Amino acid sequence: MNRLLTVLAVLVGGLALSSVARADDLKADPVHSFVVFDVHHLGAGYVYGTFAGPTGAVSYDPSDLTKTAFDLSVDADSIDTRNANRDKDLKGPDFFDVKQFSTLTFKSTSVTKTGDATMSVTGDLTLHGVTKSITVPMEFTGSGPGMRGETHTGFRTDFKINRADFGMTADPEPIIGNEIHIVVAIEAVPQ
Amino acid sequence: MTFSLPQILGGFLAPAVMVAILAGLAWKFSADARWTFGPLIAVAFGITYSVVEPRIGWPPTANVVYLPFYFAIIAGILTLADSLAKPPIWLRLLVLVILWRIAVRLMLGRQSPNSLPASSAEMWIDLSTLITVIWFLLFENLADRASGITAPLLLMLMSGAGAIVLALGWHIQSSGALAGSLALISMAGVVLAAISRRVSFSRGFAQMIVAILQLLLVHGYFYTDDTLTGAQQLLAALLLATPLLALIGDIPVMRTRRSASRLAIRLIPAILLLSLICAATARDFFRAEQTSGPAQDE
Repeated sequence: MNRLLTVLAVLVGGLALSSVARADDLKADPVHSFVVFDVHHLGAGYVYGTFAGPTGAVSYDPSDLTKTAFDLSVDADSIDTRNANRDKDLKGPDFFDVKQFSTLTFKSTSVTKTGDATMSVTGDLTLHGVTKSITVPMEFTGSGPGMRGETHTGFRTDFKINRADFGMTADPEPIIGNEIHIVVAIEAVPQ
Repeated sequence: MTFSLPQILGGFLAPAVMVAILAGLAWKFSADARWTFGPLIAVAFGITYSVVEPRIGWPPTANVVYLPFYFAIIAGILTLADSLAKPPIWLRLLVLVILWRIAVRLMLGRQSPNSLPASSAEMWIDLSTLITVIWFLLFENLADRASGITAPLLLMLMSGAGAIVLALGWHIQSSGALAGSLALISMAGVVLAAISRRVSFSRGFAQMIVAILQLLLVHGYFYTDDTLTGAQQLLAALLLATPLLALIGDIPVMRTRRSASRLAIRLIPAILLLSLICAATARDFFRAEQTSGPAQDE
């Protein structure tokens, strides 16, 4: 009897631990996650664009934000600036060159806590075949139950990159601003 | 893609003027200065390339956009060797085929076997090799046998039309600008030929322009984001076939005609066909602009 109880205790304990581990392992929900960018045009107005997604994995531990990790990718071919001709140019070799470099990726390497719900995430951003380490502010934007009872967890980051650092030098300033402002909003769900 | 006036002067006009002046001086003081064309065109193209693509990366395979730059350097060195050692045609063809197949294989390496099946890639490598060999033989033949300006003038027209197709038809303005620079360099050749009848464009000038232009077209064809329509494919095929029209000047009844008549016979059909290709490309471009709004200046 004791042996049976021990086995049951181990099984229940193992299941409990694995369920905790699964709760931390999330995936980005591409339907409710967004990548939006804007760039200065002719030194005058701003052009806005979006990418579909992103997709990928998010590890999140609310009790220890430094254990948070992101491994995300975006389909470069999904760029949309609401102008078919401009999108063709942007997908072509002068800019994103999607036939060569089909995905944009970000993989975090370290996270530091900067507030109760904010962190500073350092990681490798690969864009146009060039990988560079960048540090971005990340905000935990909340969590809530989904339609099936699963927990949705939100993050958002807002940062700037210099496109020339990633080898995208066509039409330099003032035609197209070198600085690209990017907002990434992720809604993650259990894997 | 737009360029400032200093970029146009320094990056496009100056390299072409440099080719004209330095090669002209070499031809003035030397009986055969064909050896100058390989290195000069490589340097001129490199200068333009550095304006169009300011960050030239290493290795060449890191981004296929880098390949034309490195290819031009290697072609310049081999062309220098060709003009000095004057090897037989079979050896020149052998070197061309090997270099070309390596370049196109590297160019397609990013797509094959994922989006381009390996068997299709091999077929395209074979086909592009055949076209390049035909262009090489045709332009070398023209440069050797036709009157002075024929070869550089036809190369200028081909590069100019290539620039329009690349920039307007295939939406790759950087490649269009690079092909435009080849047209300017070819114009320098036309000026040289007009000034001196001694200037020869074989074993140097023609093969450099042919090889670089062909690689730009291969890059454009495979890396444009456009799904090329049947009409665009036909225009591309016509563009590649256009130099063959220059052979009309070699049919027996034409051989007895005066030099100026033969020049016109060689070039007028090519000019007509290139005009048709450029007009159709520009029409499609402006129609698309009307449909979805201008994309110029992004």
